[in-house]
Amino acid sequence: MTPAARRTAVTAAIAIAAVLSIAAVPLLERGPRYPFVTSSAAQGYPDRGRLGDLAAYGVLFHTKQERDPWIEVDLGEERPVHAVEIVNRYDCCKERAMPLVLELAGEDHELREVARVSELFDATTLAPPGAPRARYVRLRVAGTTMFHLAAVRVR
Amino acid sequence: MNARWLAAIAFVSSRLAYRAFFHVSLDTSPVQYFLQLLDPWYLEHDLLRSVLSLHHQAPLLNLAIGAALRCFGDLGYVALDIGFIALGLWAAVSLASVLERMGVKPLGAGIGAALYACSPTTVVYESWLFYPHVVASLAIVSAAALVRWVDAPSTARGVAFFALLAAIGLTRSTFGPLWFCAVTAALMFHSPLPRRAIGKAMVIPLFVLLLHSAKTPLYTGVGYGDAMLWPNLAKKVYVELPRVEQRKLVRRKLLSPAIRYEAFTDLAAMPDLRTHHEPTGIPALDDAHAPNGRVNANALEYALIAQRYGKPDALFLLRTHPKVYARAAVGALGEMSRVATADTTLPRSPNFHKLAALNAAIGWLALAPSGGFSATVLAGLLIALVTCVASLVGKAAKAAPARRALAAFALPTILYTTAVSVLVSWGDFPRYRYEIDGLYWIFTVLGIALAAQHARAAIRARRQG
Repeated sequence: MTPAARRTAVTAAIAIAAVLSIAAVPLLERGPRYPFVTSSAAQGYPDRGRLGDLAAYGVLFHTKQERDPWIEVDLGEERPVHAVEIVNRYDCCKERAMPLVLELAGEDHELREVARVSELFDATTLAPPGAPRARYVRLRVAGTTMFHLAAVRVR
Repeated sequence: MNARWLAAIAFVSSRLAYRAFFHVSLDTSPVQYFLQLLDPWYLEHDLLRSVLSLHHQAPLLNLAIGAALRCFGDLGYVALDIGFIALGLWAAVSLASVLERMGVKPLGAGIGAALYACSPTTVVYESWLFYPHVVASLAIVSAAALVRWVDAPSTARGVAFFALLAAIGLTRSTFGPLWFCAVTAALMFHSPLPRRAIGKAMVIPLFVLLLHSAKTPLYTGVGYGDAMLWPNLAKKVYVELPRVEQRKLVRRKLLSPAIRYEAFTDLAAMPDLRTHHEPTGIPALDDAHAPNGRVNANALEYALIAQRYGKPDALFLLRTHPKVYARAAVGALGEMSRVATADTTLPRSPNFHKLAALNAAIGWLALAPSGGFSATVLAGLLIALVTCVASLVGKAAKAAPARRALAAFALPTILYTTAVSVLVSWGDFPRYRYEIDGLYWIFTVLGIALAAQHARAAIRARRQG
């Protein structure tokens, strides 16, 4: 290999490593991509997916206008839930996500309320006291509205 | 200091910082709802036929998204993110290289490229799965390819340059054969490259572009871009009319009911306009909705409605209200001097909000805190245009052939993009300008560097004299 070719190869390797490192940052931050379902789906939106997905208008999901709309995350097995991080829709309509109720359920799917937020928020973290074990994590708006969030992360 | 390394280091470190501290990531949501992008269902299930059936959009970005989804499945968007970052890095390094070759000192070239590449505006567009970043980057990379071709002429370098132009044309429908030929003609008259060499290098890329333009009428029976062009032109005049005049024209049936609808409104919501056609057998052309219920903006019916209602409306309004049209075009020209993030669609991107504080700071620097007219942007554009024209004529043009060739590429591109934007579109002009901001930036930095050189020389001469 000539010195020029070696230089080119090294430069290309550095460039590839740099690009991959940049792309890796959001993947490391994203957390597990648990599957979710929603109570309904507005036109053009899916009623199921995985955490980290992006639908139209930069939201994770978008329900129809209905009473007590919800999103439910399936953790696959019972595990301690320390916190649920929520990012509200960015571009508008943040008030639609209030009052927001966090409910947890085990394998029996019996939901119980563990936390609630009633103030307008851009992003918030709901921490159920004592990190209870649960398989299903449900976020529900108490009231009649369309429900959409930009991101949900379960820790 | 090597300008390219400086630009590359600035690019990589800034992206790591933007992603780690501002949580920026590629916004892939446009795939789910932008009328320019086919629904992922078509891309995943019927990629080639769907992309070939595009009748008002260029195919390359849709093809890239479809290929990524098909090849990498769930990781398709990660692959696209990698592609967008790599393109941004390539553009940053190319920008530094061009500035250095234009005579800017290495440190200045590196800083000039880094300022452009690390700007939050660039990052917002780079993190948006849409046309602007791809076109803006390809324009800069094309500039670098042209300079390399002038410096060391070879057919391969010439073909590479024109292939990049064709790639721009296949990414963004506004950059068609007319623009390609205007650039070629300008190069033939103003670059030091032999005309024969230019002609030889441009043949295949031009053929590809022409083939693409001919494909739409052959494949779908409608003109390329009809579904977009006529409603846009009609709306451009219509929205400028007083409300009373608008109502009068519709009531007297001088304008069709189509004028009341937004472009690409759900066909089910416009029963009075439905224009049925024989099924083509291609879902991306025949479906009014994608399988998930989303409006399919590539439905052939939109082009037929545009031909049936939009075209007569547009021609009527242009004929009867030429002054209103002229006023709208002049107003659009004024809109060009706003900061590049002054856009109606961009605020739907999460990254726009994540970087809102930084972009607000850019707004203050540009003397346009509310996103309106920016004297700083206007000054930058004017410096670029003056430098560009000066590079084409006079002594400087003979002394710097690479600069002359670059100006011969940049000036028609700038004029063409501006003309198409202000004459056809009716909003979001700063975003259209962003696609060629890299070319403006090259000549703005060059103009400032040359002015500084002259000033230094004058001071030295005065001291000596």
